[in-house]
Amino acid sequence: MFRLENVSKTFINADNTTEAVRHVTLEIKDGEIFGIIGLSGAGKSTLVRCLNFLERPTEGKVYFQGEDLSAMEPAKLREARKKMSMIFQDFNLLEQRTALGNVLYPLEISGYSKKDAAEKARKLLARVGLEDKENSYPSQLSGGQKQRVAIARALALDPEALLCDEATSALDPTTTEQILQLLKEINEELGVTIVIITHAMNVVTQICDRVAVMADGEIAEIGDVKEVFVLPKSEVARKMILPKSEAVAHLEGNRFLRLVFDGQDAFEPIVSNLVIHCHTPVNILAADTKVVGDLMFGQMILQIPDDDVALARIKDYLDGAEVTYEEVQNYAG
Amino acid sequence: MPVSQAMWGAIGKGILETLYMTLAGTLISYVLGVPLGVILCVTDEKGILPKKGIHDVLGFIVNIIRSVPFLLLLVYVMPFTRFLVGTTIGTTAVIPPLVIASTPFIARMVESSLKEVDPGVIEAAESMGSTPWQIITKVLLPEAKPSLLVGAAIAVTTILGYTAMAGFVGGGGLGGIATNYGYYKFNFKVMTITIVFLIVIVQVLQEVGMRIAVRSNKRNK
Ligand SMILES: Nc1ncnc2c1ncn2[C@@H]1O[C@H](COP(=O)(O)OP(=O)(O)OP(=O)(O)O)[C@@H](O)[C@H]1O
Ligand SMILES: [Mg+2]
Repeated sequence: MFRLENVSKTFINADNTTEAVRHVTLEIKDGEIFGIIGLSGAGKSTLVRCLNFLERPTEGKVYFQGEDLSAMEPAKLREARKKMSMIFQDFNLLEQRTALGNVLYPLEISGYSKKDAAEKARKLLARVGLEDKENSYPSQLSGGQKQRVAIARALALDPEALLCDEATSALDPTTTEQILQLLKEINEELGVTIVIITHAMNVVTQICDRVAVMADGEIAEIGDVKEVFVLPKSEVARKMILPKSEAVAHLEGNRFLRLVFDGQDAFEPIVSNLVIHCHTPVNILAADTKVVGDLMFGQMILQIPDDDVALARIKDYLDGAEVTYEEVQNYAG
Repeated sequence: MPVSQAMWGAIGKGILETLYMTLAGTLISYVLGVPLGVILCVTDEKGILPKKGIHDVLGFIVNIIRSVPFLLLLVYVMPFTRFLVGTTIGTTAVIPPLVIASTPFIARMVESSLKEVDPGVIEAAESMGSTPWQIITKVLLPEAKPSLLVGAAIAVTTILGYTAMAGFVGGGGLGGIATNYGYYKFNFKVMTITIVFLIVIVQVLQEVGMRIAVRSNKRNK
């Protein structure tokens, strides 16, 4: 869907220059959900804005469906943009238009007849569960509802890709969950490629196929979510992904296991079964898990006895339970 | 001295003339000022079509005209007025200087209203593949509408003030009555009546304008 070749973006102001994105080469595949994480100022937004040329890279090339965006005439670029919608943290809805009016906007600018546009817009509002809100103005809608309108608007022209810049950052956890679910459905049902910037690790584990970790404008690490989250290699990734714990330093022993849940049955009491099955005590030091539907996502750090046999038994049990794990030395949060 | 029937008739005519000059002047000034304001806004370096040259030249002209006090401008453009309407006296002769003076400040007000539109919304429109024209007509102007209407309410009262000044140099209207009876003959009663009417007209126009603006705003409902 997208291919970036050595993309850099440098902002030059009167008093300083910022290399927001530096020599990024990556590919985003058709139909995947691609996550981008990184600390604030890492260049995530700038990178994503280079995908639709809201930001023109100062160096390098961006290919969208094989076509070089920098070579496009303005009219052609506008057509390309219609195939890749963007949703934003603060929704960016037209305040003076109703929910329906907002969804109509992209249809109006693309030459749909009034009748077809209205029909399609209503269908889209129904798709995001807002059929009863078509006459509400954004100021009358909750954050989650506004983001649904924005999603309906983004889907209006049947895009191939959806770019989400912290689309759920302004929402509470429950609403976030619903929006993520909606994005997941859109991805599965319509095959829309989704690029999602987030600060929330659980967003990545829940819906992303692959993830890129950005630091200082560069890609520090990229790979399947499972790989990156089980064994983060770069320092930023480890910092962001490993659960935090402050109490650890005061505990005896230094053998730890990190369990990663990526869709296990939430009703299976894995830890207590492990204790019973392996006849060994464990200590939960940190956990960052979450149940979505009937499935468990997230991770947990267990302190385990300094005993190779017990460890082998535990590993064997976890393999059987299909829980991904990693042994961590000197875990210190 | 009671105010005569004829005097009341003159005041009534003055009110109509004042309204005519004000509304016609405002209308024409807006026809010119809105496009000018749009150009000032979009050609700004942060606008959707940055064009420094155009922006600076227009901005300079606008600033120059705005710096000239209306009364001086009125006199200064008299040759042009005569060329345009054939005379420099009467209500219609007030329209050209009125428009010349009002267009620049309306352009500035329109520009600042448009600049209040959330850049995020403009960016969203750009990300959807809007042309600049679509952004102007479907995003900037509609989103700025409440603010534009507040501006219009202010503009119309300012222009009404200009018409009163024009009365001093033969422009008619309530300003003309105040000049002829109030200033030259110092008829305090007529002067007072004129002022009261001017106040009422300003208040009504302002109130109506503000109400329309508030009602049209979907933002804080
Ligand atoms: N228009 C701009 N002009 C100048 N500098 C900019 C501009 N946009 C971004 N930057 C700078 O580029 C760097 C990367 O910004 P960017 O917004 O891409 O970070 P981010 O990873 O999205 O951060 P956050 O998580 O806080 O949103 C920052 O140092 C920022 O100050
Ligand atoms: Mg950002």
